[in-house]
Amino acid sequence: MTKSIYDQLNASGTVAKQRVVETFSGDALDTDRWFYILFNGTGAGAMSDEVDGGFKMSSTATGATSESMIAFKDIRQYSHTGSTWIAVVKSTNTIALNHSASLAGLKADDDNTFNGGNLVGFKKETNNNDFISYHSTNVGGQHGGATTGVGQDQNYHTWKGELSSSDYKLTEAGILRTSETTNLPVSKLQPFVYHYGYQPSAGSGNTHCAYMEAYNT
Amino acid sequence: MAFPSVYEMTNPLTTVRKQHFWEYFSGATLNSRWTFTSVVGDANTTGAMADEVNGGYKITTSVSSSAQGALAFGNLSGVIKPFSPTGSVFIMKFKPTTASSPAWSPLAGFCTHADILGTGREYALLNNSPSSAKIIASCTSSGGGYKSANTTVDSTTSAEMLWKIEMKSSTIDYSINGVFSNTISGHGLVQGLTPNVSARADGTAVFPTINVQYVECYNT
Repeated sequence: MTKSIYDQLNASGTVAKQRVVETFSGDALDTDRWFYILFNGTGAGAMSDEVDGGFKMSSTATGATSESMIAFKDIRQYSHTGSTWIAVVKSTNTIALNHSASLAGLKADDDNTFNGGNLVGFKKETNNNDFISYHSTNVGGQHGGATTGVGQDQNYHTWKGELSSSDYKLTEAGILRTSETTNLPVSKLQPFVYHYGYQPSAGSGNTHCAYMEAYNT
Repeated sequence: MAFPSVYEMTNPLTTVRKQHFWEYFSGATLNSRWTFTSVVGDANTTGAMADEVNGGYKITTSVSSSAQGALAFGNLSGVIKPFSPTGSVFIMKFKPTTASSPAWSPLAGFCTHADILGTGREYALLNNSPSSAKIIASCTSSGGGYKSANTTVDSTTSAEMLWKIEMKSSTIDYSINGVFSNTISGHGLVQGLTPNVSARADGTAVFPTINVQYVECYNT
């Protein structure tokens, strides 16, 4: 049995590439690594005091939207031509939301531009029945969003996105759900998790992330 | 190469990974996931990264009788409790130093609070107290009351040790140095739990220090 984590993740004689593993466990987000942004509205991001709660972003504005994100403050160490991300994410809400969205994956900028936002990820949005793949170049209108065939719910799912120079594959629960070859990002990337919610009445929408791993391939 | 990702070292992609972290206590400062609290002893009960080979994070109690320090996912105002009372595991590697006999050196495991003593606490702990010949396993809850048992392992004032506490639906299994020791049944814990590593002096002459080298917790 090797005692080295390095040897368990890298073939003998190979040089490891950039990798990050975040378990979202503790009393505070590791702000040496992550940067929390509340773009608009009323919301919060904090470690969740719930069993398996992970890090939780909430939108609580009544009759209005709220958007938030965690990312690496535009430190972009992951390749748009060869990288993989894995995330365990769930979306919950205490009331029926008019509109909500949860996304996670790799993105060029820590902003709330997604159509033309230079990213790959998964997306849960109230406009769709199923979770979808979501990816885009840096040009508005150049984005893709194939359906995964996985029905939306409020449970945790394990997502894995594999990006190469020619395609983007999205896996859920170990099963390949989508594979697309167009509208891929064109510059270096950082991990991100995003939450959006529009609450018609008092209540909250939430995105929990319990795990994030990213590595170059 | 055995695994393509760290995720797959502990879970296949076909299963959703539950809350799981591990902490090496390596670096210039304590990772922000933890908070050290001087429960008793004010500034004389301290915690810091140790400038020692295999030093990890060191809790030092001193000066006052019952000086007590705790490392947890929060402080006296509240803690984050992501671990299940009916399905989780706590693992810790540590090294004690010479302690006065009634001390906790350390008292560690899962708890609902940063300060272990007090009303309303639920916990599952192991206690290396040199006042007892054996390491003590204990738990408490409003439903199950306080329960304790001697483990099969002698208490120590200097030997490195590996502890494992497994929370199950109604029982708790305690293992030391990779060997199962005993089970406490009917624990009755219902609240979420935070990892808690506490040390306490209970004398006036010799005060314990604890070097915590590794902690891992996960839901099962």
